[in-house]
This record gives sequence, structure tokens and C-alpha cells, in this order.
Amino acid sequence: MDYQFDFSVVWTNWRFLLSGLIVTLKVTSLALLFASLMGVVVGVARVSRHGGLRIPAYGVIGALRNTPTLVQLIWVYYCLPILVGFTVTPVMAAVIALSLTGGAYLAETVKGGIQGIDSGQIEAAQTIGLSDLQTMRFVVLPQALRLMVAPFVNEFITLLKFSSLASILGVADLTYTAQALSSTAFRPIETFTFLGIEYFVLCSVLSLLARRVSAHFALPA
Amino acid sequence: MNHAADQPMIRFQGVEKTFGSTAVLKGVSLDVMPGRTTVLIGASGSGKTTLLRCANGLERADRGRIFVAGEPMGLHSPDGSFAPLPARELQRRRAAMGMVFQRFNLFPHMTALQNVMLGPREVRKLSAKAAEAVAQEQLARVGLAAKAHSYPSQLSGGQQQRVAIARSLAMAPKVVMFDEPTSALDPELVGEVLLAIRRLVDDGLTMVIVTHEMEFARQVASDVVFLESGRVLEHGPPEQIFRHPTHGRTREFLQRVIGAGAASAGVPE
Repeated sequence: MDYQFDFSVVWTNWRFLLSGLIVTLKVTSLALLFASLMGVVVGVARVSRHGGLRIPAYGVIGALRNTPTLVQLIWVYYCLPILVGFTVTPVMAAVIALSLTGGAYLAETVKGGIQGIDSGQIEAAQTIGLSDLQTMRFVVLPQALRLMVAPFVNEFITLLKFSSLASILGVADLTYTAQALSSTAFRPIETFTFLGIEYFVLCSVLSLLARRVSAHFALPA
Repeated sequence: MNHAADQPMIRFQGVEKTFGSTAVLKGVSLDVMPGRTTVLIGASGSGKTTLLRCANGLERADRGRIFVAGEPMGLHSPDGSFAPLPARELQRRRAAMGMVFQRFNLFPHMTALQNVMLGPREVRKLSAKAAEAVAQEQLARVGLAAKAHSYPSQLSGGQQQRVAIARSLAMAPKVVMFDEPTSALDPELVGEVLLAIRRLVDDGLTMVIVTHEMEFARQVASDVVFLESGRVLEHGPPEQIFRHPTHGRTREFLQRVIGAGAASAGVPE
């Protein structure tokens, strides 16, 4: 192999690459926020006694988990505007699609967390006169969410990786800026290697954070 | 408490409950009188626990009537069937009825104090300060003032059960029901829980206790009820049930749990 590596393309264009990083973090953070909200609401609905809540939640989770995120992204960008009658920017489409896909996965996590709570505690809550909603708020969710810290950060990592798909809509994220750079500087190996390293570092830091945070929220033994 | 002393605190009338094809309660009628300690005894599967659970709506009776402090615990149809109360009404009633479980069922993410405060704060809607004062008072009543800030996992089984008792007392209940409160405890921890319950007997709290501790039952009960296969077979003061049971089945049961000959010869003092 006589390829001469030249990573100067990365250093000379760091501002451009940084702008991509910021977009990636923005899209991912917003998606995680909405995915979390959706995850809690749909997850609670998923275990509801009322079929009117449980069945739609089941359908939504199934539909979103059994379609590729890339297809959802394209669908939100090209089809949703026709159905709702207003245009969706690429960034909005990316946030919506990632929120939906992340929300569906988190809903399953929330459901598992809720079902993991001993039914005796729920009965104890009922016998002191707490309503179902209060039982959820004071007894079930605080414990379920504690157990979900690690899966939650894992979802953040998944969303961060999925956010690279948004580049195909023209969202100027990490992947998009790397593609743009490689096609103008003719240094694809350096730019894409650096891109991989960036995702690796970001995701590794988040994994580490996940372990720290779960340990912090663990119940006293 | 504005409940008339001569009216039953809990009245079961012909209560029936079936799980699948197993009839657990076959028409139980029983009055639990205020200010008294009613102890339910009987073999496993005789329906004691189910009867308690029907009283506060954790189980729904199939037929029959249940009144707590004179108010029906459900909507009775003329054909004897039973519809549950609306959720809000059920919550209001449950708040007035304490329940202590075999397995404590404390909330593990809360300290002892927070466990006891939750009901006063969120159901009785007391201020945080007042709720804490109530909780401290009830923890002191079961001898655990010093453990207020411990988590359940840091407490022994006996201490956890006393916190659970304090939690139900903090709701200022009209009646407290105990479902085998010492069955899940190591033998050396049973005494402290029974002592805490005995203090409540002295305070004149209305209680229904399901227990296998016959000596304790004999000492604290005002009334002893013997259930057998979903029916009340015998009901009377402890001296009568323990010394002169009228039913052969009661005698057999007592002999089995206390030891041969004890029932007919009387429980040793």
C-alpha cells in the first residue's frame, strides 16, 4: 500500500466539521428529549388497564419498531408534508423521525420498567388511597425510571448513530460535512476515518457517562 | 371518627368469591365491631386473606354485600351481584382502611419517613410539615423514630413491617387489617412486630388480623373467627374457641397448629 495519508484536510477545515458536530448534537438532543416524552407517555399507555390506550400504544410501537429508521426519515420528509399540508425542513424531519423511532424503543423500555415493579407495592399504594395516576407518579415511575437510566443513555447513543442518516436529506450534520469535505478535498479516507473516530469518541463518552449515572441513581443496597 | 360504637365497623353479608373454578369464599357473613380486635384463623386456603382483600377492594367479591362504617363497598344489584365503586370513591374509602401485608410492601426508593409521609401528604393533602409530623409520630409509636431516614433495604424484616404499620396508621384509619403480618419474618423478629400490634390493641384501634400465631391470637383477640373452606365455622371470644371449640374441625385445626391435645386441654398459660 503506497497511499500517503494526509490528515491536514481535517485540521484546516475544523470549523466546518465542528459546525456539523453541533448540528448532530442538536438533532440528537432534541430527538432524545421528544423520544423520552413519547417513551414515557406511550410506555405508560402500553400497560394501561384501558384498551383505548393500550391498543393504540401497541400499534404505534409495532409500526415504528418494524420499519427501518431510514424509511421513516424519508417518509416524514416527503410524505408527511403532503398529508398535513405544511413543509417540513430537513432538520425538522430528522428530529421527528428520530423522536418517533427512539420513542418507540423507549416506550418498550418504560413498559418493562413498569412491569418490573412488584405488584405488592402497587397494592400498598392503593390501600393508602393513592389514585392510579399518583401510584404511577410516586411509586412506579421513580423506580422504573431509575432502572432505565442505562437503557436511556444507550438510546441516546443509538439516536446519535441514526442521526447520520439525516445527511441524506441534506441536514448539515457530521456525516454530511464529512461527505462535502471529501468530495471537495479528494481525501475521503482521511475525512471518513476521522468521522468514524468522532462518532466513536462521542458514543464512548456517553457509554461511560451511562455507567456513572446509573451508579449514581442506584438504590442503596 | 363518628362511627356509632354499636354498629359494626365492617359487615360482610353472604360474601362469595371464586377464582377460576375454585370457590374461595362461599357466603361469609361476619361483623367486625369497632374498638375490638378480630382475629381470623384457619388453614391455608380457607379464605382469610381473600376476605380481607375483598373488604378494601383489592379483590372484587362476586356476590354479597360489604359495608365499612355503614357505607356499602360497592354497588349491589337486586340479584346479589356486586359492582365496584367508582375509582375516586374507592380511593376515599381505602384511605380510611389500613392494610398491612405479609411481605411489608414498602416503597424501596423512599426512606421510612417518606414511606409513612406519602399518604398523609398526597391523599390527606396535609402540608409537608404536618405530614412529616404525623409520620414521625407514627414511627415513634412503633418504636422506629431513630430509623426515620433509613431505606427499607437498610432495615430488618421486623423493622420494615413496623414501618408498614406506621404507614397505615398515618392515614388515621378507622380500621386496620393485618394479613399474616409475621409470616414472612425470621422467628427472632416476630416478637417486635407482635409487640407493636399489641400496643395498638391497647389503644383501642379496630383491627382485623389474619395470623397463624395462635398464642398471640389468644392473648390479643376480642373475637376469634375460624374459617374453613370459605365459610365461617366458628366465631366467639378466644377462651371459647381455644378452650371449648364446638366444631370438630376447629379442634382438629387447633391441634394441628398448637400441638396434640392442646386444644382440648386448653392452651398452656
